[in-house]
Amino acid sequence: MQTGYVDEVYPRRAIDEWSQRPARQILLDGRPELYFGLVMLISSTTSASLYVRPGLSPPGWTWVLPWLGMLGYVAFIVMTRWFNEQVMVPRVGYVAFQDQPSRHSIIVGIMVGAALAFLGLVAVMGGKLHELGWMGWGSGILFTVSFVGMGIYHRLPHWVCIGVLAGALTWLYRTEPGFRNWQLASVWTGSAMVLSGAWRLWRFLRANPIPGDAA
Amino acid sequence: MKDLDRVIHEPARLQVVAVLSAVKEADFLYLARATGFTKGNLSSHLAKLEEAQYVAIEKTFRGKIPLTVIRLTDSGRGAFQDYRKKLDELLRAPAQAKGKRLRQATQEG
Repeated sequence: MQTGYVDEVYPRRAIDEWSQRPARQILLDGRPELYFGLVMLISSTTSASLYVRPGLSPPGWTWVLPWLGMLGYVAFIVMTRWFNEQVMVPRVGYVAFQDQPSRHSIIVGIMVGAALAFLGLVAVMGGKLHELGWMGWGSGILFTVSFVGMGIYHRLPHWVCIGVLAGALTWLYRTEPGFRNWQLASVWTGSAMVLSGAWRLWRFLRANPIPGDAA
Repeated sequence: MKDLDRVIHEPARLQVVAVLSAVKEADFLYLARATGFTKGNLSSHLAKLEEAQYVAIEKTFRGKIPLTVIRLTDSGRGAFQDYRKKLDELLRAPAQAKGKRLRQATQEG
């Protein structure tokens, strides 16, 4: 069996690759994009402010949206749990991850990146920041930086594409007031992530049947 | 080379230990998928690692389905770190010796 250990020049590379494999594997089956995309879709489409046009009062039915959102989140949690236990574990096996220092460093990196992006925005825009709708821009920048960074770190080109798409859409909707630019961007980005994640998951499930079903 | 832990140094076992070092625990199916080994091959390597007390194997149930959970013991984790350290030193030694020879040659020349 080819183990990859035959790298006589630098066997450490193979050991590092094996050690990183569990963390990388959970990013390959499409679930992260699918779940994250669903959360983005639920949060953006169930926000009443998405349906409010400037100068107009909100439509009368928008009161139902927060309830729909809550229902969506509950359904999402129940479904992901069921899906992981009933569909994924029989195929890929059970694994429990430990809280590794590298995860802390990623979280700290994202927070520092967000703080720097915000400070950069303050420096560039100065007093005009309130006109810019900084929450929308901040979310767009944070999302773009996180996905592009993670995509490069874990060698996942489609994550880089999703990050770039989110950034481009936030820029495209720059004239929208307040938080709406990010909400509109996240509707499309979330949809793209759901489609991309579902396609990758479908391929993964086909390639990894439940042992015993394969024959 | 004689300082390297022979239990871990075997490529297949090294791969199993490397994968286990990145997780808290995993079941047999997960390990088989992650390493690409057959059940028999993986079982024999796990038995050797268990004999060396590098892994702990727990047979349990998830509902009615039997589940074999494997985790790296503290001594297994320590042995793996030690192995990596020694391997690094071994790989660095020829490069350092070459650098030393080059410096000497430059000084003499």
